[in-house]
Amino acid sequence: MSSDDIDPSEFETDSEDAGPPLTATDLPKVRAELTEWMDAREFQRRVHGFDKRSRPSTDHFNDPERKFLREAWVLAELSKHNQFVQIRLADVKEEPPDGFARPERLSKLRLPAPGFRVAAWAMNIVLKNGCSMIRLKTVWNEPSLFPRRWKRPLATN
Amino acid sequence: MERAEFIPAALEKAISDKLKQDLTWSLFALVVDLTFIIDGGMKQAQIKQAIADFKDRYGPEFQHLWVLWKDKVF
Repeated sequence: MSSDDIDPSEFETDSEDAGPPLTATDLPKVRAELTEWMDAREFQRRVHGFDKRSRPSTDHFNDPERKFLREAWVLAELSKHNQFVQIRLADVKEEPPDGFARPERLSKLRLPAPGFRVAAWAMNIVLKNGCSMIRLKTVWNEPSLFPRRWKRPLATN
Repeated sequence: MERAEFIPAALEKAISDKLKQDLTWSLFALVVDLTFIIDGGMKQAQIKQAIADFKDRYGPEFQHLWVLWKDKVF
């Protein structure tokens, strides 16, 4: 079996009751919604709702305008395993990073500051049929939340 | 690319592409999502070992290096 056998429809979710498919004109509003700080569970709920509405899956995985939805999905999944108080996507002007997170237990995460950014660069390795295979995200310290004495230079792109 | 090579090869390609970017990676945590990676028939133990090797090799480059795979984070 080769990668050619992979059908993006394998990743179709049950769209019943998911709401109308997202259109190009919906995307800026959706992104704006996800750039608001919110509880991790609420972020997960919204992202998975948008995910179901982002169809067909060929558009979801291949449309560069929907890249932020894929990034949001990874951030939502990550937040299931890490205790973030709040998370959000970055807006277009802030990229990179692609998102931000405020961790709950700083000592557990060994962070030197009361917050950090989650920078979510989607890294899509595309199969022959264009299906997305992998995504990458990054996290760095959130200087705006540092006490002044802790301020340190940000990595720049 | 053979399917059996997908996970190790995907990890290598992803990380090498990232490290080419001119960023101070030690300030970042990198999260690799393997949700849509084909396992190529690799056994779970082999995949876990590939992830562990990947983390050992590249973990020091980042503040954190997380791999999401099958509803788990490594």
